[in-house]
Amino acid sequence: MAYILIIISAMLVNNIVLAQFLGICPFLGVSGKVKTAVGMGSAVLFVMTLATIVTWLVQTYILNPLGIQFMQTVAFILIIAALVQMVEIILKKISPSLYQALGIFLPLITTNCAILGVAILVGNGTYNSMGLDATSLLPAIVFAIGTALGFMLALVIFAGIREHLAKLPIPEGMKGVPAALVVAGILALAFMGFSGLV
Amino acid sequence: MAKKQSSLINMVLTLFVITVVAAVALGFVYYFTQEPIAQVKEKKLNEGLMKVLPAFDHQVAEEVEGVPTYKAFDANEQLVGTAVEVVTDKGFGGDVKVLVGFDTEGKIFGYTVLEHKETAGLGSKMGDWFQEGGKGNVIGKDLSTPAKVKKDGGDVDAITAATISSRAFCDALNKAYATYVNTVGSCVSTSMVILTDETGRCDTLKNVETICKTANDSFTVTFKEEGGQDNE
Amino acid sequence: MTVLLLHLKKKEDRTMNNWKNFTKGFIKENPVLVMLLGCCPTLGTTTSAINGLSMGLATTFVLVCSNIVISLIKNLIPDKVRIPSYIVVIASFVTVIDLLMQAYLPGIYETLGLFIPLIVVNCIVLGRAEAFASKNGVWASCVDGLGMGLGYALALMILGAVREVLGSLSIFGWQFIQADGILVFVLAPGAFFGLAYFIAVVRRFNK
Repeated sequence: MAYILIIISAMLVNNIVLAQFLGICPFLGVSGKVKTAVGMGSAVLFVMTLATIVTWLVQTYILNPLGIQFMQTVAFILIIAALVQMVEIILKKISPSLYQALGIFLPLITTNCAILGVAILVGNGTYNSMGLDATSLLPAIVFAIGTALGFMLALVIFAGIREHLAKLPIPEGMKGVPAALVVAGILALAFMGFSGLV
Repeated sequence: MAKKQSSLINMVLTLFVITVVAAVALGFVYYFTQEPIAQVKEKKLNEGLMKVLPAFDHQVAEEVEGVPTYKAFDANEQLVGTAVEVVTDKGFGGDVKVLVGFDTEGKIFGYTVLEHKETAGLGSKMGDWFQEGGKGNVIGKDLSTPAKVKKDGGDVDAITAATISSRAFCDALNKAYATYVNTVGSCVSTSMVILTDETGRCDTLKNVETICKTANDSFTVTFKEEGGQDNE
Repeated sequence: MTVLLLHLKKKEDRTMNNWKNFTKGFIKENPVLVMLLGCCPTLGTTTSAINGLSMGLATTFVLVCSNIVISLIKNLIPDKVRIPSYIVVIASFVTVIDLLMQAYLPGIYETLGLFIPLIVVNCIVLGRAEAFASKNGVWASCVDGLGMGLGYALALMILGAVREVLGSLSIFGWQFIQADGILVFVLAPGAFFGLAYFIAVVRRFNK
């Protein structure tokens, strides 16, 4: 039950894009079409889960025992960058079709602050773990999956709206990003309705 | 100077050297900031304790079932109050961390909200709302009847438009009181106490007024007329 | 004589360039309002003017330091490991500011929270390293970092001030009307709305 609550909380109540403001760059950059939004969302889901597991292991078995928590930022960003590269190479070899679908999004993910953000939250055990032990692995993985699903959800809804937005007459100065930001603001308002759900 | 070639050895060497230099430099910075950071934390804790407890001379920190508690003593080693740091996950936006201070009679002396993610302008008001002079004043409250907001049949005035945050706050108070009872002791009014020892021998104490559990797991019994005390 | 004149002119040119180099970050190439880089902290930390300003200054520190170091070591780094090397340099300076703020500005550190370590992935920092510091000298890179950083800080401060005035009827923590403001402006949606109109206004000026 607590795991379901973690997912709901990470996905809807504390949506990473609309409530925490992480991962805004890909949110604004890639969300022109629903199809690409799904692709980006899946790539993030994949990398975020993987990155959370690896950074959790590094935090628990290297940084904490050695007492060098201050190396966290350096270590995590290197791990994520290396991980993304590796995923890219492996996907290319093993599943060319999946690589075709996700490949172009992977380089963009290294600088996606949502990934590093979740890794740091999990590493410090400061995410909302619904009463479970925040320093153990399973709640962390569930939290990462919930967050990524929330990212995907926001991205897909946003892309759906923007597809229609393209056909509307918008004042010159508001075209493009400003209009998209206004839409994001209205979406954030809507997502505020979820608060207090868990 | 010409740019270095991207040979494997060059690449590995460069990355290695840069990382080592970075690690050493960070180690230095960490070494020099460690003490100020620790001081900041201690200062923050002391300021918090000063807010929630009567004037004290020194404090002793201990963990009671994983909950940090701080006992404050005056210059004569006399206990003047106990503060408990509790976290509740019932908040609107996530965990709420509150430091609650109790006087020697177990009444709330003060509180301060250490961390919260409640909505700005609504739930975030909890830092002032429940203080003395605030609309939902809880200072001086005896928590042997658990704190509850009025909506749930209690007597605490909830923050306008932030019932969930207020419920979380009450939950924090009740948790803090439970820990306080564990550390300092609680008293139960009763008229008779039955004592047993390991061999199963029984003894009955009559004319009892209250029985109190104290910190080191012994009991103090107060009698009605004789006024004698008995420790077991 | 001619040589001297030429020399003087060259020098003047360079100061002009430095000045231009410095000011371009404020309006013309403002990292967040025109180039749309570093949006996450822009939205996440601008609940008040002081928060926005501190976030901007922390980013400026990292930007200037990493620009200087990267322009110094640019020739020592093989091309293929360029990006990882830059990331390590940037992450180190982020950790330095993280530790310093924890020690000396604990109040601000707590409000900014997660966004301090996340300066690492702020596209502005890596973007300037790659686009400017890896091709220019130390002095120019330093000026570029300072200009870009202060432009960013200015944008964050203004956005923070607007949200603070509308949302909590105060400015730099000074409450000028004792009442609740339009709450939505300090909440998440207000960040998006504020930035949207800010960008639109700057676009109008840049035309």
